[in-house]
Amino acid sequence: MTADISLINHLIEISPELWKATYQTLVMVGATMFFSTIIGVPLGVLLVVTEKGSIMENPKVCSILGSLVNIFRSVPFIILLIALFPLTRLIVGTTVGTAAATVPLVVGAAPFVARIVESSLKEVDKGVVEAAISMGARPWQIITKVLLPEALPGIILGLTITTVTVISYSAMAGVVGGGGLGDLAYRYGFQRFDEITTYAVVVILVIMVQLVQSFGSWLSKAVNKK
Amino acid sequence: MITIKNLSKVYENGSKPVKALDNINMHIQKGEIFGIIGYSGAGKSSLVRCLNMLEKPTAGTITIDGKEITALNDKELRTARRKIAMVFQHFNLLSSRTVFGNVAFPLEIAGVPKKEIKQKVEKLLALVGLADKYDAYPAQLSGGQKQRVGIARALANDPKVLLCDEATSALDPETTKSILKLLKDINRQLDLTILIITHEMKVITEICDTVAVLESGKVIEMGNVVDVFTKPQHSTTRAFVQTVINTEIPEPVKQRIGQEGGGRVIRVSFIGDHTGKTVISSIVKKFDVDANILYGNIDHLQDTPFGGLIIELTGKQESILKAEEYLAQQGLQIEVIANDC
Ligand SMILES: Nc1ncnc2c1ncn2[C@@H]1O[C@H](COP(=O)(O)OP(=O)(O)O)[C@@H](O)[C@H]1O
Ligand SMILES: [Mg+2]
Repeated sequence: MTADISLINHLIEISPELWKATYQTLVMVGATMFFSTIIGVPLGVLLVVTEKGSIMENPKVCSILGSLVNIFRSVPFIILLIALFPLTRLIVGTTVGTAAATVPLVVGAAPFVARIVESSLKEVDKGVVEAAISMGARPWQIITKVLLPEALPGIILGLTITTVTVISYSAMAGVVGGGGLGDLAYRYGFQRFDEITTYAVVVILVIMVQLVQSFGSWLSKAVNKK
Repeated sequence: MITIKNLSKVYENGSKPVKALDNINMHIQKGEIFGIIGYSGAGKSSLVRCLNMLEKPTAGTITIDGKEITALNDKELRTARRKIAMVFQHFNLLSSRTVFGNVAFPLEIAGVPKKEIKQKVEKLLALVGLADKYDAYPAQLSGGQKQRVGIARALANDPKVLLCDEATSALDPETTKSILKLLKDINRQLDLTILIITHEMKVITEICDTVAVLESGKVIEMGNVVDVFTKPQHSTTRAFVQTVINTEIPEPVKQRIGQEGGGRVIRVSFIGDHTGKTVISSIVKKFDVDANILYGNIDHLQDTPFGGLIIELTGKQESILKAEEYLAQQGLQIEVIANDC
């Protein structure tokens, strides 16, 4: 009985910290997804349309972009985080804080988004693209009116997966000074042996991932008319 | 309307070059329904895809409505393509768009104002008999309905030419009939030139005015459908003609043929004047054989009757053989189905 009361008291005590950390994580993940999508979607589109035999065939651009994406995807995130300190300082002015953590997160997630968009676009029926070409569609019209709308359910699912990954990466970014739930769990749970905080963080993360996944699956299904 | 001169197409992407089209020459008149028939791999798709430059010809020229499309730059080609519409075997509709959205698509591409698009799409959907499916997505439609959407979409920019690559090959016979009828109606109403690619002779006899037979990338026979049908010159053409004449024998007749002592059963197929029956009665008189007609079907290609009879012949073997010889002399095709005598 007394244990329960002290548990609740403790949760109440740390709740402002929990809310603040949750808020920071949401901002970090939200900003990361926003920028990764803005960068990753065009990149993915370019990877597909510049491919041999596609509507804007350009093998050089295709292989350069492909290599670039692969390089960033092959660096483990924790190393990327540290290696990108100079870039982060250049863009944000500091290497600590939520905004600073967003830079490596975007660099890590955007190539991931690009590959996901690429594979979704490749699933689009070649015949439909051909039909559009036979009607005299320009490449830009094919991209905006055929490829992206037809691939949308797949892209949404891919972005959902990316979001879940970014949530876990954001915890890592937190540890090196980004704030958020990862940082909180590290400071309380690891440095002060406060297990209750650690479990609270875990529960919040699980709920977050569940919500993101359910929403993503629902949205993907809602736009899928196949 | 379409003039093809010395057209060749060689695919160089495989391990060795494939000559899909070999010096094709043809002329397609304005307002006609021109059929191209051939077996799989004959080069039919290659030919039709060259006509809107989905494939670049290796050699030769194509002129459509006075424009040499093989000489256009990208921008000119895109404009020209609006007037060369295509209907596909697998429909190729946008799954993310409704029926309305699919038919509106070519109009959007051509930069037609929204209000005009709406009117035009409604008119087209009424024309193909799908006015009530306006809001449906392709996934909710049957094959025949999907192809109607494909046809409406193809007609959106008032094309001069309609190219159909196996447009009915994914459909059942009944639906095929209705789609062919729709194409014929469109051809009459809009005076639209239609090019139909198929591997089914039925499609040719049903609606085409002119036919070209394609084999190994070459035109082996070409002409008015009735002429080619009644006097096929090439063995491949004859084989195609046979496919429509020799229809399936009904099951009860088949069983009867299988029975013991059924005598000699032959199939007599005919095209043109002799409708068979008179010849049959004359062999009975002339050769001392009995002829029992088990099954017969007669069809018409425009005014030319064609069909087949399944006949059971009984009598002396010698007489039967003589009778058959006589039938062959009369220009009838004979095929022995069972020989129990
Ligand atoms: N894109 C291609 N690349 C290489 N060979 C091809 C290609 N398209 C067709 N072919 C070959 O060209 C020949 C003719 O094919 P196609 O025009 O599709 O015939 P059909 O439509 O009459 O079945 C075939 O041997 C086929 O394998
Ligand atoms: Mg074909």
